[in-house]
Amino acid sequence: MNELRGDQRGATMSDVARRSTDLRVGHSFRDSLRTSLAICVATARSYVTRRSAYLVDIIRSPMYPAFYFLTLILTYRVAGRTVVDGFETQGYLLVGTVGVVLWQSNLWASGYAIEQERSEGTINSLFLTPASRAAVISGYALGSFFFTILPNIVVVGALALLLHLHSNIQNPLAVIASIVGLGAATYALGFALAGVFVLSRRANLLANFLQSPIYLLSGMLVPISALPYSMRLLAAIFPLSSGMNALRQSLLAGAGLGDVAGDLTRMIVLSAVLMVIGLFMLRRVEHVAKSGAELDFD
Amino acid sequence: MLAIEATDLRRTFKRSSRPFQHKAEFVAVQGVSMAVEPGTIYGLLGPNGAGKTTTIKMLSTLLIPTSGTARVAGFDVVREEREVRRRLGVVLGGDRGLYGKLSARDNLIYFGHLYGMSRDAIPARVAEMLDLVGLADRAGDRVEGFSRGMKQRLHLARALLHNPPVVFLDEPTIGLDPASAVKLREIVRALMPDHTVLLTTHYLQEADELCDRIAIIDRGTILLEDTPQGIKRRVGTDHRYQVTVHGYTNGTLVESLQGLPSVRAVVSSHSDDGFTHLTINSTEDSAVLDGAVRVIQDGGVRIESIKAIEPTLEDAFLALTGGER
Repeated sequence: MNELRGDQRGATMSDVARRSTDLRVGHSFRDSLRTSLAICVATARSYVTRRSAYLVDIIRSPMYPAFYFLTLILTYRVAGRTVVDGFETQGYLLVGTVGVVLWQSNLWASGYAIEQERSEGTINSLFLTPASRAAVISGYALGSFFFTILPNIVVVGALALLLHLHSNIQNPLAVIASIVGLGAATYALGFALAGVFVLSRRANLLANFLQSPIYLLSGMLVPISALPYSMRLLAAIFPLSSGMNALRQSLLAGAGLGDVAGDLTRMIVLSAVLMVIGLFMLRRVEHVAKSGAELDFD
Repeated sequence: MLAIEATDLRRTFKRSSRPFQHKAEFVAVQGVSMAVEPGTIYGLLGPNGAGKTTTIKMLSTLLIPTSGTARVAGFDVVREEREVRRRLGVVLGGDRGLYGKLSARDNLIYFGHLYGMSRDAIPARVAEMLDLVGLADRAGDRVEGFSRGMKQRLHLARALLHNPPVVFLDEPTIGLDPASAVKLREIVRALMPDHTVLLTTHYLQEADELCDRIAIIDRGTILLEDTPQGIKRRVGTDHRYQVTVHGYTNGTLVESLQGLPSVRAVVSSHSDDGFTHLTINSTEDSAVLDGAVRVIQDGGVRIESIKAIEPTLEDAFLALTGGER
């Protein structure tokens, strides 16, 4: 046990409290934006530090998509498919794996952010602060980008080189825009789910339950054209399906920005709608949780 | 302006054990009002389930009151919750509430950002807080390896980090060893007069020692609110006197004293040096002493000293809450 070192202490509480220095930043829009950005970066740093505490997570995180990708290739090969939806199977699945990586990372980071705080027992401490909940969730997504997405993309990219996968990139900007857009769309979907997870009280089960339908509706691993008509209708209003299509077209079929503009626009609009829904849900859910004393439940 | 102001706060909960089952309602807090002056320590005392933590959670924006209003640092806890949070530090206590995988320093740095502190101010302030709570030499260690006392001190550092004018401490010393509790009380005492503290505690001596005013709460209602001295005075417990005599070893003196009007009980205890302490509980004030002195002297016993025993906060608490703590 440490001793309070009385007069050896650097400062007494009264000294500290009497200080006139304002520890906070201002309240203008610019200040609020700067504060939110600082919270986002601090949360990302905290997220990465906490996840890095587990050796198994450091090993598992970058390896998971590699095994997933190889399993998919073998499955399709055993089924005798060399072409899927007009694309070479390996290329089709490579893009699908990138989609899975983005979706999984955002589901378990931005989507699971508030629930994670509850399971760590820090939700009350977090909710006692004036911090923007959206900034915290974004911080989880940013942390996940560095801890999961970036290493995964590197590993999957290395695998693609090893397997001599063919790509047809005519416009790198279109590829970058598609990847960034897809990342933003998966973040928006995770954000929209964050509030729902808090109130479900079984976020883990819900997140697991949602994974497969999302794979199907987004065309990550199976072509949307193979789905029944009713599911294809659902997929059409699902932002990830547009993102997946844009990425496949730009990476494998040489599509330019103009060719994927329609998909990207649809994805951006739908993602914006999801973000608005997420913001509304988050406020609503926090209100409901505090009305019903749900925050304390483990 | 009052630091904390609550008017007729009420909170009910609905609970059911199964989905779709009818939810039973119970009242945790029913009509709590309080007015806490700035720069004071205000104690909220009550037995388990009295509504202390629920009250603190409503005041700290974690729970929405079913009815009633409350203001902290001049801001409404429901309509202006972000303003309240900027001006409030809360220690909810226990092992939870800190990031176990982060170091003590990283916890505070992160909370500094969450409280909207400027990036430049955070490092120095974090170092000051760690120094204040005596954790400077463990700043780089993960919190998961800390003892309960160390975690509690880190909770306090977190609550004070953004220099809030109002601080809530919910059972801050519960589960701490005596030395840690004493150290924590030292820090709390040193918060005066620059901060206002709302303290809940099970330890009546702690409340007596620290608080300027105390509210005794039971079954969601404040039964009495006053200074610790005022509470002891106002609660109509027995008057107690201790008469120390010499030369009394056995006999009917105790029975004779018990026979006096207004005497409710007499307890005697002998000490090795030949003195006997007679503790007389009486419903009357010092008037009972005349009769007692006469009875003792008639018995041929020499009186060495007589003193009044002040009622303790514990007496008052037990009298008000019916014995449960």
